[in-house]
Amino acid sequence: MRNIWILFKREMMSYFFSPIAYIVGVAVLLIMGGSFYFITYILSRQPGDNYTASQWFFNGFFFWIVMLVVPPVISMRLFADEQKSGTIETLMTAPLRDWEYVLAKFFGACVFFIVLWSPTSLYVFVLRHFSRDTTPLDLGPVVGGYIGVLLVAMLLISIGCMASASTRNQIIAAIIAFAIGGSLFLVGFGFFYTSDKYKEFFDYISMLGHMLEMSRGVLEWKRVIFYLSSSFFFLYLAHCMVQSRRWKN
Amino acid sequence: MIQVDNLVKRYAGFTAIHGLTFSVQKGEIVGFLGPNGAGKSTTMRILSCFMPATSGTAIVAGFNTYDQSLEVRQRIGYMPENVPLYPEMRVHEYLHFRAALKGVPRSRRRGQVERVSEQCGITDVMRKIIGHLSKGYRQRVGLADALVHDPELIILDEPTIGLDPNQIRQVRGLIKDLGKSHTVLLSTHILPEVEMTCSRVIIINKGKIAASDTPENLKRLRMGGGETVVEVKADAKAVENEFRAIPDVSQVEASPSDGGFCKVAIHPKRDEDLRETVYQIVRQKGWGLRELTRRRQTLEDVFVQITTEDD
Repeated sequence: MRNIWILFKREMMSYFFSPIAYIVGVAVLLIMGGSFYFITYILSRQPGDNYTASQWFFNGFFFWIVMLVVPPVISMRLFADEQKSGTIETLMTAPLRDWEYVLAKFFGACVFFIVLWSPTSLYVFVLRHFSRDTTPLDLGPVVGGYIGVLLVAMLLISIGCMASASTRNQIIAAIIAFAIGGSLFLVGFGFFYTSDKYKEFFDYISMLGHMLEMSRGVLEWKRVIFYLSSSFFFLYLAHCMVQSRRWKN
Repeated sequence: MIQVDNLVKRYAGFTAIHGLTFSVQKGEIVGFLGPNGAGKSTTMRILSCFMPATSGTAIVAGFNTYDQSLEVRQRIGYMPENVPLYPEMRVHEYLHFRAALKGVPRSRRRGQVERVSEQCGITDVMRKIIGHLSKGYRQRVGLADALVHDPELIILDEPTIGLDPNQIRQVRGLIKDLGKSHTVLLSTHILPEVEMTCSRVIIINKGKIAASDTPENLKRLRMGGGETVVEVKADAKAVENEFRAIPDVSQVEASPSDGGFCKVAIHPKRDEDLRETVYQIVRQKGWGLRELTRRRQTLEDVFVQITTEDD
């Protein structure tokens, strides 16, 4: 555990020393800010139909662009860079377990992702403050939406970790992670186009469906378990890739 | 401290080391010598638990590098070739990070970092960003990292590459100092370095051990004692015959030189110094003399001889 903390601190430091962090941070805030602006603009003109404001915010086109692109970008360098620069050699000859290395990287990327997103929580106060409506904004869906963001991000970052551990080229890592994450997202659309028998299966894996539910304030254990277990699976694959170096032949 | 038994490492398509067997005792400074691609780095990587051997065993500080790698890694300080570092960190941040990772308790970390930075001569760059350092400083930061947890065994892959002559001398002195309290295994191309710092040399070539001994013994065994070179004013043929008659001589080569002189190289059978005998003969004969030296073999000669023998 101590090693995870030590590596995690270094990981955070290197995030904030790299220009990519700031570029991605600005891009995320611009896109999400724009998205928030348009949603409030449109909803103030005409009342919403079947969906609530938080469902709009957490399911829009821009939201998914950010969700599908940012995790691969922030996780691409995690392992690939250590391999390319050779620092893997000093790391792996220090008394450090392979899973500690993988988890530290994963938590580093997750916390960085949370930091990127945290300014958007101000939108809640903006809405409360400027809304003419006397009924206060319901916080349930907002909290549900943020939990959803975190869960989806954990899955996509774990995919990014696996992709990054598989290559020494960051760009290739990002492309692999985006391809897997994007495919998973698209397969989830099956939820809206199938009936009865398959619906249950697609319900289990549809990220879009999950986010619609969670940003309505509905949080089910099976969702949480799906994201935690699939993150664990991809982290396990990443761990295998890191460890494969220690296999005989 | 190190016990390597029949170590083999095969990569896809080629075998980097075939059946290395050697041991290193506590307190030794052992130099690993060999041409590029001989398997030096591969062996060091196996010893430092970066990768496993295909077969054979390597025991370091009493633990197997394959299944007790964590114990081994706690006890070694390893500096890889090319010294990979994090360019975005400051030197003191990096050394603190490494000390923490290697389990130096928080209370001792500052002291240890200070001690190694003084040892390695990097106190004046502690606040600089690693990416901005010169090659020589980077090399020494890597060295400081290898020492920061005061390991029992220090493994250095080409520690003086990229340093200027003054820095090389400093690092050499440092390694000698370390040898008083640690076991050191280092690899290098620079042969005088091995002669000056190492108590034992292991020469490997094409993945096999070609020789293993003290630098002095190696020179003696492989080349015989140094030849004596003498330049006298006399007929080459007569001189040759005269020197052949010395009992301990194995070979004499004479060649005419300018001004009626001839140059003679006399190889002794064992390690004898023939200079005095030669001088007596020259004086007896009344030849003019303008050079009498004993050529010392360098380790370089031995190295070249051993590593090119099979070709």
